Amino acid sequence: MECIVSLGQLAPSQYGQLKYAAAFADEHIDEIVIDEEAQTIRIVHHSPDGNAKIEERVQRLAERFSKGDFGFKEQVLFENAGPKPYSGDIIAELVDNKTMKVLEPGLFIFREPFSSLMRFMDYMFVNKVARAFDVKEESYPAVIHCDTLNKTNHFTSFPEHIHFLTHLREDLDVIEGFSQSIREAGGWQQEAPLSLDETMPKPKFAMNPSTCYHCYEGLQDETLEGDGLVVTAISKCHRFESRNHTDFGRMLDFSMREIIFVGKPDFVKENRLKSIELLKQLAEEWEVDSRLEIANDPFFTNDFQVKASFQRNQEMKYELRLTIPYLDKSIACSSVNFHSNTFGNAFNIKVGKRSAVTGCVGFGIERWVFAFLSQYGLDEAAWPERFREQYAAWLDKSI
Amino acid sequence: MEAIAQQLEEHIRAQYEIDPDDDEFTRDVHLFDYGFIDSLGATALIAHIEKTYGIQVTNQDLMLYPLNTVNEIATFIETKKAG
Repeated sequence: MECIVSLGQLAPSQYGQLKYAAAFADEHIDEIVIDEEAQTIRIVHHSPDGNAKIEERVQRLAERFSKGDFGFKEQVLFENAGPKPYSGDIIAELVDNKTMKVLEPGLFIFREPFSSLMRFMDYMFVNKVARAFDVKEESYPAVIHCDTLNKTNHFTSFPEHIHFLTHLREDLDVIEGFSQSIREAGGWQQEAPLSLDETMPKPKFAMNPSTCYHCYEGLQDETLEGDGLVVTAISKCHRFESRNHTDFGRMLDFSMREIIFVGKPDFVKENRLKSIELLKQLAEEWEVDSRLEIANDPFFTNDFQVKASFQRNQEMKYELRLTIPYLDKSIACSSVNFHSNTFGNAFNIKVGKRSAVTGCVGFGIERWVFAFLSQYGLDEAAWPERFREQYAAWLDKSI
Repeated sequence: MEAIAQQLEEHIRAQYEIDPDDDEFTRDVHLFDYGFIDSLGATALIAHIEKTYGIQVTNQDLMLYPLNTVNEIATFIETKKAG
């Protein structure tokens, strides 16, 4: 079955946001296609309820993105034109030569040299960017308290992304019954029903959606000394993005290095500005075709326009986007964020008498490697000279 | 404008629990950059302005007018009321 919804009320710049969000409209959706010329979105599905419910939901989303839309503030802070000598389908090449194993869309196993490049790039982000500050390293769990996510407003801003974590109830009958049912079924059957309420408690934890939340949780109820502090950490992050995981770089499970600034407003703002300059130097040194521009988060709420407009007008978020030549598009590989006192208030982090303000710089490690390889390919001889030298020096020292 | 600025300052001090001794808080301080109001607080402040002064703050207003300080917001309110 398929249904077609008009996009007449939407600016073309919003089509992508709608397509992304429409994936979450109904679990029976099989395919979503935007026809820019006809200004329609076509939804192919197998819903037992027919077209009506899906049409209504997609229209509701279209209304969300069109509400008060007059165009967003846009600004490019810097652009770096790289030579992009490679223009092949890097994903196909990585899969063909078994460097990358696709477990399912957005979930991969990486082998050499991809896995080495991930460690190398992270090493360079720490040495070239994080260590330019008086930085302290922290180590975080891969899971986070639901109570902590609640404080960050994650449940209300990005509810569709959350990967909840639970376990069988501490109940011998439930545990043995579950085990027996698996044996009887001949193993785990994904389609077989499982009564979650009976067998599992309400989740206390979720998979970490972002690295910096743990930093704020760790500073809860503390008063910082001096102007503030700079922390760096890398952690595995998880975001459920439905069928959007088939898009280049949209991973279910990924590694995010962050440099986090917590302290007085001037301390955070000055460090944030400095980090932008360091990011620019890195993009130039590695000769990656890229640009840093104002961005907004994909808030999954009815007040999307207000939140996104505010975020852009206040320049709270910049994204460093790297070009993917064979797709003629770009993906965000790093972001530079300012949160004002949101997390300082939420976690009661003080500097002097005031709530601390926070900011952070994020590096999506896999995305950086994907984007670099999509511009330069796997042949090291084609890589930029400085990058090749740094990588060789790092390989000599690494295990 | 002075009266509106005075009312706004009092509202922001009370609503966002600004310490009376905080000498960084002035009518010209950038409320967001200096951590007096966050994005949720800004949404609440807009609702307060709409209700108190009987004006509508559109997304376009947010983009066209500088609305970062008490004085800028007071000037904006006066302009909208006059318009």
